[in-house]
Amino acid sequence: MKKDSFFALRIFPLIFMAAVTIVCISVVTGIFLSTEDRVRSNEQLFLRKAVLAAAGISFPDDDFTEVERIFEERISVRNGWYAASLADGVQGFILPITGAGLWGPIEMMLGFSEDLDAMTGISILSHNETPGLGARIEEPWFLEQFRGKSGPFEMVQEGTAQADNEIDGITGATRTTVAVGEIVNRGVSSAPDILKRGE
Amino acid sequence: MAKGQVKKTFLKPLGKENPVFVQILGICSTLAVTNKLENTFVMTLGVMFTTTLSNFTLSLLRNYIPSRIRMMVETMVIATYVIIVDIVLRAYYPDIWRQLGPYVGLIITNCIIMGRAEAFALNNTPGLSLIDGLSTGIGYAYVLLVIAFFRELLGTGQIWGIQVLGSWWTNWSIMVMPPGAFFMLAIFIWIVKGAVIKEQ
Repeated sequence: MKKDSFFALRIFPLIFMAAVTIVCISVVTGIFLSTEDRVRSNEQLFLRKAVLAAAGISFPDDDFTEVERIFEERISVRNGWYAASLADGVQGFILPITGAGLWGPIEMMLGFSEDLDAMTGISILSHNETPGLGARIEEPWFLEQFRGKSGPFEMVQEGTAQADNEIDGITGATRTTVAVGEIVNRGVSSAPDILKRGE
Repeated sequence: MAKGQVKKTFLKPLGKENPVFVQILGICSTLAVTNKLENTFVMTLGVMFTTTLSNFTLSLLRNYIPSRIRMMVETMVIATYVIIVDIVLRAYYPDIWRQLGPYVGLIITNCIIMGRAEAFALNNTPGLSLIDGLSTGIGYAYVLLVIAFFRELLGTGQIWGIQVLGSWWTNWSIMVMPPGAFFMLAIFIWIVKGAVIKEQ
């Protein structure tokens, strides 16, 4: 093949690129397909843990089958929300909600007790907050504060929460804290309407 | 393959030709993923994997790649390895994958990898290219890990998520925010260039 022939300059690069592309895509597709089930069950497990945490139901963090079992037993999926059977026959409701954080959307699960007057817990599904600052909203001590309290909530300086509707904020992450407060409050006020649809 | 050449190839990216503090490449990821040691570690493993294997693969192909489309081929090969890293993390380490978010995918655009492919892999044997890729990855990794160590320690009082400084320590919030990365990187380069590698 001459170095500057029409084939070498125009055709061969096309064939070469097509061949490389096909090989690369086949490899990636193969790996994707072989891990697809695993990825899907990871996502489902993550979601189920978030629902259980918001309902205030405890579960072993690293036992896959146990989490599945508890979820099947206690939670039933409704139209865009979840119903939980809490201790002593009381019902709980878990709603997903999304709102603006500091850097991007924050997705959460909010858990309510049967008459919607107290929270059973909240959990974070996804966020883009600063690691070490805003990302600390994922820490249990922050999330646990909502449990048993009733909204609308007021976010106060870290370590000063006293009243039943006050939540300790996170020092250095004021805007993320306020955003979480706003999202939860919006959830509190819209919960009755969401629960009405698809009973 | 001469033994001296292997050693030289391996040592260069660790010191005199370090991609981060000498060539000042790959700065975007240096700034973005160094606020937690654990995330940084996973990220640097991903870069090491990609740069090693893409160098090797491109070096194998170097005599066949038409020079006009070589950059397309390089990008394709690099992207393939990065997506493999992304998929594996997603399947086996979902928590870390969730925290790293888009940064794994952005390894594709890390100029260090493309740079090594262009500057080294296309002109050298696969064996040497593999070593060059690996040591470039290590050179990148240790700089990031040092920066992440100090950012996490000063910013949160923790190392690898474990609290090491007592309650007397006031967290330097700026360290875990983007500006902290600029300060740490600048200090790092300043110290290395001032004390270790003297300008000619």
